[in-house]
Amino acid sequence: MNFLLSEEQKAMQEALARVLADRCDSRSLHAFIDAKGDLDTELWRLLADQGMAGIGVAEAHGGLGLGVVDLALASEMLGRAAAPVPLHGHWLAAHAIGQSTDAAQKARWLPDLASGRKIATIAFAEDGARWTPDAWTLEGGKSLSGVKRFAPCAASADIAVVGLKGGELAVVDLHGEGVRIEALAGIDRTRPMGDLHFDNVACERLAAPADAAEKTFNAGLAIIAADAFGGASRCLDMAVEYAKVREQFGRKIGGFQALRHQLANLANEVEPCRGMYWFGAYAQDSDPAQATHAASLAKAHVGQRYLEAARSALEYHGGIGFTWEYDSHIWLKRAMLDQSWLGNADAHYLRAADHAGW
Amino acid sequence: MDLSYGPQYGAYRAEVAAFLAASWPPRDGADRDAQITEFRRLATERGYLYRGIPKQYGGSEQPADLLRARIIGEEFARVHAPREVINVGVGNLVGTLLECGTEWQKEMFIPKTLSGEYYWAQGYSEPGAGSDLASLRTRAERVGDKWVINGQKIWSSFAYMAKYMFVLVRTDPQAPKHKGISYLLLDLQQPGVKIRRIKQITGQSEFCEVFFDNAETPTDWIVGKPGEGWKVSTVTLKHERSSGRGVDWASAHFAWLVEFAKRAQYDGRPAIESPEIRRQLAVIQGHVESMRYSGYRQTSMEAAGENPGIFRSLMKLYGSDIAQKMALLGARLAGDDLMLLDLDSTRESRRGSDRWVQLFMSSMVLAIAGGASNIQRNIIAERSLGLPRE
Ligand SMILES: Cc1cc2nc3c(=O)[nH]c(=O)nc-3n(C[C@H](O)[C@H](O)[C@H](O)COP(=O)(O)OP(=O)(O)OC[C@H]3O[C@@H](n4cnc5c(N)ncnc54)[C@H](O)[C@@H]3O)c2cc1C
Repeated sequence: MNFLLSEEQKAMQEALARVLADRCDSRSLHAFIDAKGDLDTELWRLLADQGMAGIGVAEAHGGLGLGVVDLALASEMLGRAAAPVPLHGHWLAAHAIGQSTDAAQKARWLPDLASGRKIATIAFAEDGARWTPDAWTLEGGKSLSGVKRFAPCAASADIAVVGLKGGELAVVDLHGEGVRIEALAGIDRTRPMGDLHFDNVACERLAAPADAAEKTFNAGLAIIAADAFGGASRCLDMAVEYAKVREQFGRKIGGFQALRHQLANLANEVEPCRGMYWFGAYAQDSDPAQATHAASLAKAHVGQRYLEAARSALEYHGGIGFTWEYDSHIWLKRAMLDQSWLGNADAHYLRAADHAGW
Repeated sequence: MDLSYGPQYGAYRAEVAAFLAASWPPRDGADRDAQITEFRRLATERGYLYRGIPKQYGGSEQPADLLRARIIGEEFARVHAPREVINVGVGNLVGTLLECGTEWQKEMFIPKTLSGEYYWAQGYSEPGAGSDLASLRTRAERVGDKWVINGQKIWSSFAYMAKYMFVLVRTDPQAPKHKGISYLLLDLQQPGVKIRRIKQITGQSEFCEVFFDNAETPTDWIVGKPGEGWKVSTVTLKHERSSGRGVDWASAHFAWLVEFAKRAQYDGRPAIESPEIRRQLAVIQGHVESMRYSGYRQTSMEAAGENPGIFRSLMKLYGSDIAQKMALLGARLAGDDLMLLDLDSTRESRRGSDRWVQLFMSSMVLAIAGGASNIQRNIIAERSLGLPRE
């Protein structure tokens, strides 16, 4: 009985942090953002070679065979680094397909996803913030016609796992006939979004249990909560470091009590989110009775803290924080995406309340 | 990461429940205090109370186990059985003695403090020394085999009913402010000590002014060496901030808040059905659960000899903030009853919302006593975030 990371988990976080520190420095991030990039192919290759594309894929299909906790731990690192990679959607698509009871279906898709040869995304949302499986309306017969919204990194993806009416899931080849990807003017350019327009598109139903979509959705909440924690803790660190070097009134601004207290409050909001997202992810792997409640509560709580922390941290940088050239807005915009994607804090506080047993 | 209640935990829960079914509430009609003392003795013998304290000093010395501790907390709460004695002696002095006390001090004071026989007051604050505690002026001089104490303490909780006090006094007026302080133990029931109760905003008179006029205590009733009192007292503060209590407090109050929301009306219907109230409850639960799992992480890491980072320094401030959020939601649920509270009524005779009107006030103590929130922020900024000194 313990609430600790294993040596392997720590090593995985450290290895990932090393690659990202090297590849997602300020200059590279700004270059990606300014170029309105879709995919940093070289970074994707590096991460895939580390096994990151297949963290959650069974070993039999070439993955690492790990759980949602491990995905979340990796996600924290992505959030810290603001990594411009399509891993969130990719992991969740693989998570969904991994729940298939059809061995041939898994063998068809998973090896390519585990190796990173193919990139996957998920298409859950519909207009009007319809994020949860019970809200999906897209009818799925043999073919699909309609729109799914806010698929992350859609332009670089080869396939999408699409949410259908009744909480069913289908795999769609995004290079196939009748698919149009509409790039959105996304606020977070490290994770460009796309709407998927389907016109009589062939699809392959996932032969998965009835609660598969719910499980993948909940896993997604935990993974985004982890990204949010990583990002929020980075915002805190940036603000603290800046306060140690910036001078005004002849002294370091970190010596002014007003700012010291604001930073202490920021730490007080951010640091406890770590335990929250850990449990949100842990419940997906090991505590099914609490999985929905823990996932929604973690997403709402950490997502909200991130949004607030990103604003405060930017404010504590003064004018430089408001410039495009500086880094603060990169995390502010990731916080805006993390807040809304898969449903915002308002929605998830209520969903948590509905599963709290009150 | 393994928080699974394996089969052994199911058996453990059943064992705790069976113990409680047999021993609480007590059946014979003896005096209630005696019953509680006897129950605590039994519960400690079974390993349910004082788990972190060595057996030789009256604890049950159990290996750290978060889930067992949680099961005990839940099962005891379910039947309203008494847990560890709530006194600054248990929460604070015992830990200090374990770290800094002599063997005879541990043997003489710890067991009877745990049983509730020795009830303690904390004598730190003075009229001129609160947050700036090290500027305290109450002094003690060595005369023969005694310390002779003169001066005044204030805000000392329950001093009027305490047998002993642990007190910070200045023993070397020449030394720099933090170096001239000593940590003494003192019998409060002596002619040189006068105690005046102070009425609080809640109507109760729990904290006290304590005047020393040639009060005496034996020379060896000192914890640590003369001049080490500041160091000894910071050990105390470390114990005050340990994580379990804060989470227990927050979980219990949150459960009551949910119960209150079931009884209270909001927008013309039971408050618990209002989306607005449900959301606010979930917001608070987000903080409570963050505290719980960050506490689990911290305890696990400390047990494994790893460094849990800055969370420990946040515990008190985080708990105070949660208390504030709960108080504000409780105030909304109380509605017009927020204007009403019979301050003279006893705890037992109070009505449904009174607990929350009361809590609205009493919860503020968390942000003042034991180091005001701004002092916590100073400590976090300097020691945890490494910001330059003011
Ligand atoms: C219910 C209750 C029970 C108590 N029980 C005990 C007890 O048993 N034993 C005991 O010794 N004491 C006890 N106390 C006293 C408590 O520890 C002190 O009240 C506390 O340390 C604050 O000191 P003070 O009251 O002198 O306030 P002050 O130190 O005067 O503080 C007033 C305000 O100024 C702020 N402030 C002070 N210094 C700074 C600074 N450097 N930077 C920014 N802000 C600052 C504080 O945060 C506070 O908001 C109790 C208090 C209460 C309310």
